[in-house]
Amino acid sequence: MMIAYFATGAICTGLVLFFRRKTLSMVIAGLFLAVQLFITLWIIMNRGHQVSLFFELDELSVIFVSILFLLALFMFYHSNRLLSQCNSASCSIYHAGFIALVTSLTGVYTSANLTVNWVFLEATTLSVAALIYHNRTIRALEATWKYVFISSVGIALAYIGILFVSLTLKSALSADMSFSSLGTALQQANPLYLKLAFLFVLIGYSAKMEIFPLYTIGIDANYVAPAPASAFISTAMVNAGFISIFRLYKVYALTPVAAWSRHVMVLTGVVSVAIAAIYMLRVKNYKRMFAYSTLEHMGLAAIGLGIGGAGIVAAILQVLIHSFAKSAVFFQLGQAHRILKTYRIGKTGGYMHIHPAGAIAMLTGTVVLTAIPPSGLFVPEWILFSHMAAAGKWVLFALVVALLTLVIYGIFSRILPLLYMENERTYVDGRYVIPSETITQYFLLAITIALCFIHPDFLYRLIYRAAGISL
Amino acid sequence: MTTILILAFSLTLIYFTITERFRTYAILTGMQGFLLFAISVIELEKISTANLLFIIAETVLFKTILVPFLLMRIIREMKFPRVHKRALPGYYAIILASALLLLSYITAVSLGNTEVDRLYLTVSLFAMFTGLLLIITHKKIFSHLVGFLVLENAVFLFSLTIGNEMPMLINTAILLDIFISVLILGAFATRIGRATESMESEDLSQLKD
Repeated sequence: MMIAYFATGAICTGLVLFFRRKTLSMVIAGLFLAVQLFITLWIIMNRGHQVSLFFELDELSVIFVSILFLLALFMFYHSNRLLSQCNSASCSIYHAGFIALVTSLTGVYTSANLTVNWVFLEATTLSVAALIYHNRTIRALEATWKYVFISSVGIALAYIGILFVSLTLKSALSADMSFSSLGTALQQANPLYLKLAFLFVLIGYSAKMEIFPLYTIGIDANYVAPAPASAFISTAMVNAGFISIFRLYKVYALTPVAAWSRHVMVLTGVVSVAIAAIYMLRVKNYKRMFAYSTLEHMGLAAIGLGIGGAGIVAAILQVLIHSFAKSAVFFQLGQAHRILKTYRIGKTGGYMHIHPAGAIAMLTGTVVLTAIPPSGLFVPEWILFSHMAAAGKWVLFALVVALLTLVIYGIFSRILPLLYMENERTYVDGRYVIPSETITQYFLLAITIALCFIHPDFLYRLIYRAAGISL
Repeated sequence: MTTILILAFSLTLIYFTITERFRTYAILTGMQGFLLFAISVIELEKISTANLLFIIAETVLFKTILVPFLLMRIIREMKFPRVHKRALPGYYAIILASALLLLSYITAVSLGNTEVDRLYLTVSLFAMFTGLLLIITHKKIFSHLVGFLVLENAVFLFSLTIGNEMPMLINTAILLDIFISVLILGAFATRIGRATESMESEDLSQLKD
């Protein structure tokens, strides 16, 4: 089934690129979404099965494939308005990139083998490039070039890490690179090789998860890409980086360097949150500000993984809820840009008067992203800080709290003037004030708020199992 | 024989760090491709014929012929023959390259794995450092491209150390080569060359906070 799905994705991408007709590419992308719904349901129904040598439908893949479908559906909806003004060629390339990206991400989420996971992660680079380069400006070229080049260098470094893992397997007379058998095979491995492998893979995949050190390309990509694509890159794409690192992290939990790998994750997370906090205080562009917010949230997820135990649950929950909240905010930013014609901070304002429905979505999204109750993100952060306190990690606790305070100040000191302060330089294009467009954003934000009060048993069961914690 | 080929490969790496002419970069890239072909044929004796043919096709057709051809085409189209804005003068570059070679050797010795030939590991690490050095110290995007190609060759050489046991890893490394190199070389490098005057990384620095 998985092979048939990947073949369908490849065929749909090929058809869109071959015919290059605007309406046809939209129809094919729509049909592909139906296929995506089918494979999502099939994955949910076959949960817990290893469907082939290379794919396993575990709890983690069930959670993230389901989110992927929802995000892809909303991205498709919001993209259609954007693409209505484009020519056939750029519309087709955008849809081809979209289909290829969704297919590759499904591969990343479901892969049960370290090498296969790497192959699909590499495949995402090209499809993301097609989305970033959509506007064909010099800035789009710059962001695309940086994304492709640094991603490729990162992917090559990650491959060197995989080769180090395979060298340790060679010593153990094994050639099985599946995640399930790697843990056992690496139990007696040379710790120095394991550490090198982990560092190389973490550095390489940091470009995809948008954490320190290769986070910069994600910021530029989110800034330049059309808003619906930014929404997808900073959620579904980032989730792929998280899953890839998390699967390796679970393998490392069984090795002699488990404690060391946890320290590395905490350090990476703290540095990521610190960079996000510093830049969110000086950023001059709304889109870049929310891109740095992704760095902050992924940094918190990395800290959660590093702390271990309930921290892992917090990390998965953080990534999950962040997907809904961040996509809603980016969709709203796209709408705001069509009305106000700028993303520059300080060049516009009074959005609450111009487009109240959009402004409320923006304000709610900001509250949700800063994890202030009733935000669903309050729950994982509460778990994270409780676990830090219980473990006596007070220095880390204080440091992260201080950094998050800066983040909250940075984000609100920029968003509130956009919403409430009149600015004489504000330009308004009234044609795009369409309240009904915000329905999808309210839907996504409602999910994040509901998750603050309702903790569905099936969801938490899946998350705990994915984290490797028995209930 | 393999030792001589690997040493020749490391000489091309040293030459990469001191040369300033882009044509020489293209020629050295082709030479590295040919050396990797020769090393693969000698080393991968236990691999299946189909896999070996795949690897030979990749090293000869792709690394030795196609990549240098694409590089030459970019050089002709962009009309810039050499590195003229180096971040690091040649004299310091060779000292740095020697230091990196020493670092690679020390790292390979410290890793002390009996399953891997120390020479392989040293030269693979040296190739990786050389690739990163070209990317970090040069300002021309063309040099960055070449740095990435050298990094890919490092991955390929490293993958040969376990190629007999895990041919899938070599095939995957080949996929990385073909997929990304053609994308970067064929599509974006040419577009950037057309969009910017000097094809320098400073020309692509509009995205700032």
